[in-house]
Amino acid sequence: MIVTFPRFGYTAEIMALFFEEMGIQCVRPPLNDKTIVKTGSDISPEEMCLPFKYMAGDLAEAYKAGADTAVMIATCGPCRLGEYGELLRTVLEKAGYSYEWIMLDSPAVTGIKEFIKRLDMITGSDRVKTMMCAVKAVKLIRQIESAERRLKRINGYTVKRGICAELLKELKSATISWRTFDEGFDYIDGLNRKISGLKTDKAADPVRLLIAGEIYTSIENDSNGRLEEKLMGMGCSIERHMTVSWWVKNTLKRLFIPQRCVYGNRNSCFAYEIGGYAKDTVKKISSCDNADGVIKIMPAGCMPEIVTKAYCEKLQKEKDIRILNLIYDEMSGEAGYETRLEAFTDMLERRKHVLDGHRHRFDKH
Amino acid sequence: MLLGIPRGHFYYDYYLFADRLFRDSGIEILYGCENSEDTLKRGRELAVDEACVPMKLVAGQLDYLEDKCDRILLPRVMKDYMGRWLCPKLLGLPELMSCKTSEAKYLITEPLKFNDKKDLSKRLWKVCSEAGMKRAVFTEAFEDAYGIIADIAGGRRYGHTEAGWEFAPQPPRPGEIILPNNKKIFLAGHCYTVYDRFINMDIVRKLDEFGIAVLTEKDVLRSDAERCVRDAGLVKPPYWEAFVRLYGAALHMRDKVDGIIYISSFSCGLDSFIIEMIKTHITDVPMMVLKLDEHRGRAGFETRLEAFSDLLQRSAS
Repeated sequence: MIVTFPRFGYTAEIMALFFEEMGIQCVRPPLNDKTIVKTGSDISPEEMCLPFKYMAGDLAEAYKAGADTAVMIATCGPCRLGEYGELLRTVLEKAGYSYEWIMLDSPAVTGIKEFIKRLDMITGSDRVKTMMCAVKAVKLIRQIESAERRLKRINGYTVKRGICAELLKELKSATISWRTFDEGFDYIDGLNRKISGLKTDKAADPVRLLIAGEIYTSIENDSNGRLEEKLMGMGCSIERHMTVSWWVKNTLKRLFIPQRCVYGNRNSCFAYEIGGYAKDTVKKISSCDNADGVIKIMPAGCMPEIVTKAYCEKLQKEKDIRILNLIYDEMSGEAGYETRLEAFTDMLERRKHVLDGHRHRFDKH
Repeated sequence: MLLGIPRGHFYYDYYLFADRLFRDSGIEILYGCENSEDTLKRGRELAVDEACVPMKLVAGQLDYLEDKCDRILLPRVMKDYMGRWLCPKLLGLPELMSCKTSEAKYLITEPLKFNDKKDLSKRLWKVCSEAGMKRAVFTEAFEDAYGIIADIAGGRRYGHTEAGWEFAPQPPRPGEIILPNNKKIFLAGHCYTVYDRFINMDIVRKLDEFGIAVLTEKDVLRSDAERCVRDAGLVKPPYWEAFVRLYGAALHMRDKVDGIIYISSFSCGLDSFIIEMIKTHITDVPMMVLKLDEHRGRAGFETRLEAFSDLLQRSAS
């Protein structure tokens, strides 16, 4: 059995470490890029959303590299993501990549027993070791992402421009080369020290942005046209709502807190779960007081995010929040996105200075 | 009191339910208007760009009802009788229409889950009492109305009577000679595309002219559809009611019909999945997918229908 899994931010690297620790052979799909999404869109239905095409491409490439068992983590929500497993199997089999499938559906739906049974299919019956490794994996992801979050936040404040983007790039290439968890923890320790040592300029006033929206496009860098890299290059301080550790926390929370407590919050403006993480997106956007603007991203045709988009349009008027909607599909016209981002950040910057009492943005200098 | 209910989405599926619920209550109901270019135009201006055509039509309906009714009811149906989910856009319908629904005029229900009778009755009562319904009337009407839904879902009765009256081709004019339809197709699609004559450009009549009779998913007992899906060997149990209804009905009818026409509105998330599943697993029946969008190009639509009907007629000989 050679295991593989679709890419999802840092999880691909961490899951590879996890399987290595467990002594299970696994194949990492290659890094997502244009060719992956091309392979994916060739075999997937036309109107399927972008994450599906990436995942199909990942699994197709991994099959060529020798994998024969696909592990798919999914929820059973009303959004399309829950049916990905079913459809992935169908389209991949049609294209000649016949995998064994192990679906790790959210235990809140299938029941804990069934979940553990399926997990045993991958890891064997040494549950204690599995548990230990899983905890380590989650811990490492949390540490990576918290370091990443710090880097993105202080970008724009640092004296040396572009240092954060550099460190982030190093981190990304380092994750690929790790062979054990300990290596990872050591690296993160070093990185944290480096970040603390960065000289920052407290008086700097960069544009602060919140990136919210659909989870896959938020986390997977290639699927949002390397949005964060571009923004960091423009000197913005950014915060991203969706992270893998947020997702883990959220999934566990749902497992242990009864459904009615999750659903029953009637007072908030967008009170009900409608699939995906629409409710959380709206909650985050409506409560982001420290950001100058919000960039809301989604893949074309994403059903829950269309609803949030409609709702955010109202929110934008009521609460004076500035939102830029970016919709991604497999035809990535880089220049168009760049122009819009530039215009948006320029607008925010100018607005800031006007609000500060400067009539012109260059008055400050 | 005049209560408005938009003619879209639930209307076709839950018409009997709503009709029974409000029949004895003394509340007058206005079920929107027949959809038209005007509704679409209004809806297009109001709704968010990415929404599908049926959604825009609902927005248009709300706009139409606004100055005619005292209150407007916008139900938020979340799960059907079998406990399966509806499309996320429907779950978030009040939010999707938030350009409109923030006004006090709207009666928005709490999530209605048709699989939980007690909960459903509680939530409907909240809305109905606000509309001025008496408790005794409500209790009786709800029992009856819920019975109808249960009968349809349990396979004790066909669902097609619900929307049938609007759906049937027009009766022949005097002197017109009617040739018997010699082919049968399964017209798949969501209730709001199949039964809405405006959105599907009267496809049923057109097919009738070509000598093709139409069956819809409502002509299959729900229990048959459920059984077919259960036997299909899926990796995980499906959670969309539309998937079970359409995929199950297609599996059930594969030997009984000559072809399948799937009408789907552009950028429908559910359809992107359902169509692929039908296409892959039912290979022995010719199938055509028609995408409907707001541009409503008739010529292309008709050419494709003609070609498909020619194909069916030839395949017989």
